[in-house]
Amino acid sequence: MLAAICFVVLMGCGHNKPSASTTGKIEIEVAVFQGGYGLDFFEKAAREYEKLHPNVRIRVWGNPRIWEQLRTRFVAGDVPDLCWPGWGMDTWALVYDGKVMEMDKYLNQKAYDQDIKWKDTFIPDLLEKGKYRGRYYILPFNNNVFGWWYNVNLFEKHGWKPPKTYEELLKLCEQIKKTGIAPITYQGKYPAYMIRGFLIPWVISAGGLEAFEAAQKLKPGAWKSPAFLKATRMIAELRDKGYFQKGAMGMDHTGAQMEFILGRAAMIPCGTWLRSEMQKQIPPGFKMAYFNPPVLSNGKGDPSITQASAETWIVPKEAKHPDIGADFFRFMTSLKMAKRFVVEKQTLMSIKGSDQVKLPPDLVLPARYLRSAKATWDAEFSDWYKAMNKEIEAAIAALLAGEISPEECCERMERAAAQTRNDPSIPKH
Amino acid sequence: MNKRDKLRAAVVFLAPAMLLYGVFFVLPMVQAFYVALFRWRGVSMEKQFVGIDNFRTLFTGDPVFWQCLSHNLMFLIVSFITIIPLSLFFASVLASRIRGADVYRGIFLFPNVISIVAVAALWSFIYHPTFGILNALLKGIGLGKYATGWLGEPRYALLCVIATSIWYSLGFYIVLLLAGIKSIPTYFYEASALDGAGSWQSFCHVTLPLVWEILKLAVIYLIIHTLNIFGLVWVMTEGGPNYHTETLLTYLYRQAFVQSNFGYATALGVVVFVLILGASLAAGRLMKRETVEF
Amino acid sequence: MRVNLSKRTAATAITQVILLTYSAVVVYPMLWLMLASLKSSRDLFENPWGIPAQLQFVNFVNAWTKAGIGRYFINSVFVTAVSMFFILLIGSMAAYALAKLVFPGRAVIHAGFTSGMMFPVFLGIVPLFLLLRRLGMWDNYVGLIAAYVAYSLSFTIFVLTGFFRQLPSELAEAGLMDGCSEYAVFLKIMLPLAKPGLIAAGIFNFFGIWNEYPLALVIIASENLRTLPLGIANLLMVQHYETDWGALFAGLVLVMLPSLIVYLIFQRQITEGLTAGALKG
Repeated sequence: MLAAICFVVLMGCGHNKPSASTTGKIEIEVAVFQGGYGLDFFEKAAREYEKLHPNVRIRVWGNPRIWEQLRTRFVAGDVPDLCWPGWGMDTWALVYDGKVMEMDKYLNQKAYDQDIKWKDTFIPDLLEKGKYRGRYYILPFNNNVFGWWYNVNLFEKHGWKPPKTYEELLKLCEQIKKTGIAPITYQGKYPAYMIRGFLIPWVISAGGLEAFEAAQKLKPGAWKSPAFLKATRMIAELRDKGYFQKGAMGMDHTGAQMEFILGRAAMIPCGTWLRSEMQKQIPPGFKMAYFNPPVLSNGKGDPSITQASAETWIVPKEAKHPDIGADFFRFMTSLKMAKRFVVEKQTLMSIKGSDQVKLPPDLVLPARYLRSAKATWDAEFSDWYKAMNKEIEAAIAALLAGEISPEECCERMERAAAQTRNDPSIPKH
Repeated sequence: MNKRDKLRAAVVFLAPAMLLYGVFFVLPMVQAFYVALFRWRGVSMEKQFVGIDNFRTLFTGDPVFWQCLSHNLMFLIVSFITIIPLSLFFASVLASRIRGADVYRGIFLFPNVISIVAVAALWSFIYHPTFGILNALLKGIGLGKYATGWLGEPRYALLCVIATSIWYSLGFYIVLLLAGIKSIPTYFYEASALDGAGSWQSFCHVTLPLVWEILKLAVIYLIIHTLNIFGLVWVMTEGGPNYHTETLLTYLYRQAFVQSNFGYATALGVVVFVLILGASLAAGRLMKRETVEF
Repeated sequence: MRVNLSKRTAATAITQVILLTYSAVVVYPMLWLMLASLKSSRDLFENPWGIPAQLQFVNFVNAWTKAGIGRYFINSVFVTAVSMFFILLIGSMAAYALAKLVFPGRAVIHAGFTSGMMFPVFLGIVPLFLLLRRLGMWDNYVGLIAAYVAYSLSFTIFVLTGFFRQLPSELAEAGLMDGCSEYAVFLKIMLPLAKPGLIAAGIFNFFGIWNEYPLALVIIASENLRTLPLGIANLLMVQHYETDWGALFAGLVLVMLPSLIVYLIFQRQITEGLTAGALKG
């Protein structure tokens, strides 16, 4: 009896899902990764879009682990009309499985508030990242510049200058170390930071962008090329000289960034999200500034080359209203909206000209580096080849922990690349 | 009461459990076994039958799998040699009328009350390289040169996680054994005391044989727990640095949800299941003895 | 005799010291967690092991609002209570049959149930998700509770069978002699006797379900049906982007407290031996 009552009660609980709109409006669903930027911007944009298109209702929802819910929804074929799946989603796997809409026809439409094609409003490098076999699938939204940050207060107090070259870096580290402060810390639990902050910039410096591109394209031997050997040796040198903070390998990203903010470490690799991530902890008067990773003074790579990545959105192929989903994204990437996102959310955007606003102080330098960069790069392999990426992360962690030599590190990375290269089941870029 | 009545009663008693268990547990698990025969990214319904390829790769072409296995074995061995004696000791002490037994019993289960996430966050702070209490403690007693990065150190990371796991689960085993010891009628102890047995003798001759079934449960549960260890490791180290704390299940999770090899991960899950089953059966066989009823 | 006595006193003293030490090892980190939940993040990093420089009750406000603790709390209470009821009822029935009734296939069924503990939880999640959708049990509590009961039966039956086995069969036989049915024997004689086992199984199931995450994640989608661990997982992720340890620890304490209270209540009930009566009604 009790069981029966419970059952009735339970059934009752289950039936309060949003019912279909009765007003004859088209309802679309937008699923947003709720990271540091919240949902308010997207909700406001939705209300504005509804004013322009009275027959459309947009339901925006999101949470910080949205990929976990989206994954099962994709398996069931019940998908939103537009989504920002977040960093936890293997978006390329969705593309390979044919679950992501090709965006070419939309990109050739006119931009929302400019007299050019939509696709020409994006920073080209960032748009090209979402291309696979000649078609666009994954579109960029806000972008991140990734480099090094230094503690301005500490540097001014001791009269230090941010190092432009690796040679200057070595000298500076020696000076910093003498004061008892750790010269460099890093987010050891997540080796992606060390790959983006140390390894690849120095590969590009030593061997030019082509040395890195060859590695991304899995060219035989590329991961143990002289450029990689040089870069891993540079990391080993900093390690051996004790310029990295002791124990950094055991810290997560917020932990290491906290060490930086508390002035226990003078420099840290991180993206332009650093300020918003640490906003609540930054003491009044604390100043930090961005600089591109110090490069070899006689390096082959152009010193202006800058790392830029983007947060990406997709329109699911099985969406009920993909056209409206795509159109809403076109609206959100209009120059006006992009500028508003930059101002409100203090991040750069992948739309050309969106940095022509009063930028927050921390973004002025990254924006300048990005504009004057002869080329940009991104560790795309980490999204394309997840298994290989994990191996490379492990190799870098082992190198930083002093378990292996630079030569062994390169051998290990090359082996991982070869394994991916020889596996026909992994789609190649 | 005849045989048919007994059988009918057994059916009535077992039917609800078997129905729920069969539909919502066994069926999905069996389907999962089938998935192990596919190459499946797990992000859509697209999959491709590959037979036993996933298993072949696992055993012949995946050094990380063997590394994980050795870490889980380490987990099992260290947990076994600490938890079983300690929980037996604490349980029998608490079962005796030692002062404050109730309070201690209450306290020892505390860690189980905290969610695993809180335990992991808590211990990450204890092991923290710059301000963790472990380093502070070492410096305090003059062993400052042993202060280190703990979870970031290839040599210590695994042991640190194991220690946390023991801290977390010891209370469970104490309570399990305590319940067993408590259900031993006191006249056994009275009789053994009359025979002039000390507490060690009565432990060996009364407690141990009479809780043997429960002890067996504890050992089997320990096997299951250590081979299935996941949440704690994932939050504390995510298997790093350089795979030094990667366990079978963190690796399974990584394969399934990070690297989109759902079919492969499922094959790994099947192997884990077989391993646990084998180890439990072996333990059950090794610990087999006449059930003592009283 | 005097030697013997002082030896015993010494042994008791040593035992007490060991018990006290281990209690400290268990309690101190938990106290630390409580203190940490009242610190600002910077205070936490600069003074991790001391008393909070200033009590930050705002952490609890943040956790409450960010994790939506209030709403999820009631959901969790409901789901846990109903699940526990069915788990203990169905589980003890099955365990009793497996321990005390003789019928063909008993060993196989017992092995079938207990081997369930050996499955990694993630293994069946996607098929379960698809199954629940097909049955119309996705995104509601029927599905979630059915899954919780199914997933908990292995452990419950495993533990309870052990306890029932240790109960003297003579009592049941005596009951049957007196003309009780097999069902009455179970309810009136055996179930009360298995009280310590029921409490042990109950406590661990409670902790397990109260803190359960992966199943709730895939079975519940609606905001208003979410359980507490989903809220805490979000809080943990927010910590990933906004760096607010205080709110994180406050959230963890908020989740911990109900468990602690339930646990303490059960503790008392064990001592006072009241639970059997409650279950009989």
